[in-house]
Amino acid sequence: MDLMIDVKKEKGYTLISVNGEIDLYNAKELKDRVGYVCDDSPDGGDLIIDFKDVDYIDSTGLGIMIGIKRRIAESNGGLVLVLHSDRINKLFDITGLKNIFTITRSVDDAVAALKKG
Amino acid sequence: MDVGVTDKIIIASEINELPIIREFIVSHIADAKLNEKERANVEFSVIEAVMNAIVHGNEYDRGKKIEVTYSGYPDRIEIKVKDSGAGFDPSKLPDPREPESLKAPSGRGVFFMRQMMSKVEFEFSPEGATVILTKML
Repeated sequence: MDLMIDVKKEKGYTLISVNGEIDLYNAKELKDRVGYVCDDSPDGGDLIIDFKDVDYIDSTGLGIMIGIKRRIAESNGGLVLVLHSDRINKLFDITGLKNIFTITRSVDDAVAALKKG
Repeated sequence: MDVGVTDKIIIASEINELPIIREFIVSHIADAKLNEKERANVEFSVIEAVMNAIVHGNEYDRGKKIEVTYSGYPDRIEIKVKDSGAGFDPSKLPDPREPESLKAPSGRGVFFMRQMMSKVEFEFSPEGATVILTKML
């Protein structure tokens, strides 16, 4: 159930790469790391969260993602999720969450989505 | 008449007990006639049920136990998750896909169970609440 989070400041956005499982056990860790990123960009910064090697997210993890979206919106930033796994895409699909998140399959597409606004 | 195997595990109401439950379920469904996706769905649903038991049923009280029972039958598997909570009215759970619930941070656990299992039932008694997850084979 380990979670590895890598934060990289890129030109115009911050890229957070996540490896592991996002669940009740460690979802707060992701929330806290995103909180630090938001605190560093109080005037609003765009964020891409790349679920690079995430093979599991539970309902708590989804709830945390909603909290993160809210937090980013409060600082007038944009958020794009990069979901690689079919299974995780399916979870966002059946819950209707794909309608409130911008979701792509690659970081390049996520950068393009941020530029589009 | 049903002929099957039954096994039971009891854990404390702590999130770091979840890997024990995962191992318990994964080992039991390994030989069931389920494909990879169905197996993942069962594992996911049981974890959601146990999380609900820890968080809502027993409210993180480590003195209160959670009982997970696995039963395998020729035509189905059945997993019961029992906590000490007072229970709730399942018919009043909001649909998380509805606009007023879509952005809620919680309330998707039972929805996932219903999506991923063949049948989801609840039993409430003075001793506690039990969710019964059934997957037909």
